[in-house]
Amino acid sequence: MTSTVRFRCIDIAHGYDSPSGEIASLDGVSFEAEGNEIIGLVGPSGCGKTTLLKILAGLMNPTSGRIVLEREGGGTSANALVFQDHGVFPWLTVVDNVAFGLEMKGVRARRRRERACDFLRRVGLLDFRDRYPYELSVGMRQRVGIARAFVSDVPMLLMDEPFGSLDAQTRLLLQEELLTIWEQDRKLVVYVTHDIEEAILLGDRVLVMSGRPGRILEEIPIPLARPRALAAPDRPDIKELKWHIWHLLEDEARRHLSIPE
Amino acid sequence: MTTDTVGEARWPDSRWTTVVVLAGLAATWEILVRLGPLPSFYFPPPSAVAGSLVELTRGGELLEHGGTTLVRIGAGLLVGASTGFLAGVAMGRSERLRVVADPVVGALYPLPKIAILPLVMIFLGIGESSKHVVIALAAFFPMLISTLAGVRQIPDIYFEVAENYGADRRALLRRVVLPASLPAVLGGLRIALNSVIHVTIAVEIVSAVRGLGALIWLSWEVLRVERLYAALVLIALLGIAATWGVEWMSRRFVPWRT
Repeated sequence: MTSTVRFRCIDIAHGYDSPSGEIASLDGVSFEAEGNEIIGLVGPSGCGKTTLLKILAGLMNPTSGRIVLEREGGGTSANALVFQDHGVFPWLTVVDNVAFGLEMKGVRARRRRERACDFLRRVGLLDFRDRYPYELSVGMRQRVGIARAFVSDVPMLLMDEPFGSLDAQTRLLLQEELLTIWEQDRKLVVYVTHDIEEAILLGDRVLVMSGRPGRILEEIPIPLARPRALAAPDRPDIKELKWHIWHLLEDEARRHLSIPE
Repeated sequence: MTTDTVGEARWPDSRWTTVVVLAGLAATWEILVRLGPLPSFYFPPPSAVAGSLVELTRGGELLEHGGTTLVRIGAGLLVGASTGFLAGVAMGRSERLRVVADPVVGALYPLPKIAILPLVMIFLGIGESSKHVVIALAAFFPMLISTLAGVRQIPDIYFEVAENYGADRRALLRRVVLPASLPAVLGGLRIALNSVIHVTIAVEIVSAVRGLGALIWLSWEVLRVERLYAALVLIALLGIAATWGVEWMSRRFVPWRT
């Protein structure tokens, strides 16, 4: 089945050229992750969270630093990305989208359809298998993107604010669903979000990033048992953690908006 | 399961609207000629044009001229649109090729294709092949430019997702580039069809004894005005059929489009 994975980011830096000179987006980012934990990555907008995720995904190269990836078991790609939106292909039906990762691995058409349908049945999307994404709501499209990541048999999922564009109620439901799916099929998840509560609800650890150039300000373990319920973070000590993270981010957020301190 | 979409429901309506509008115009024309305000020499009534169409059909000229034009359009479109499509995909995917070919395309695209005919005839003679080349060029450029634009406007995110799931170059082409650019390609096909009809008729007027363009010219020479109109009606029908054909293809091959 799914192989396990362990990676270490060592002193990752990234910069890009702009008309006004080189801009450093990441600076000295180091952390490690292994097994089947969920890491919440929070930071102010523009802090290079997405860049870091793309570097982890192998879609971008860091300017300096390296990533050491160790994995047991075989497989071609080690990770699957889930984006905020536009991640599902508009020209593929739901089932073909969900089966896309398997298709790229060379799994036969019948087998991958079965696998995709099994998963869609589990999350209640089976009736929509032959629909195109434009026929679905934004929230349903995100569920398709997440289904595709889970079905693809990769040990590591990289999620870039997957619920960022959803309304609050939909987001709660999908957070709950993600926790349920993950409990049944635990993978290593790096979950980028700007929502502190979301990072705490989902994460075993929360990494707090600074504004540009992004670096890791603090790593905060979340002492909540699994499986977790939506109400789990309501504990007083967890609430305190939330405000602690907020204070770490507050200055950056203010600077971003030019609100005086 | 209900699969009705707004587009499908609206489609027959717009077709009927077309028929009703055209029939109304024809009827008005007929009445204006019969009552006298429109001189029938310049504006032969639709009944006379229809009579002329029947006569052309019976005499076999319709098949001869119409068939010739259809073959030229078909051959030119097939060769020109497919090569234009391939060139567009290649230029869309290769920065290097684009840099080299862009100025050439920019220089050749605006040239009226009919203006190249004499030159092509010097190379290939006055037979069918020179006509085919010029007609194919008329399809080539719109197809190239639309395909290129279609490939270039594919959001990066789709390439990132596909690569992230392990897509190689071939898989990217088959699962991302081709489907994502298809709407633009079909738009290009529509423009190419129009362009091909224009150039085919022009070529036939200039240098052919068969084809609808030739029929127009021959009818002018002997002042058979109603035949002239009949040929124009046939060309218009061709244009309508072409538009419907492309619309059908859009519904058939791009079902994921809203």
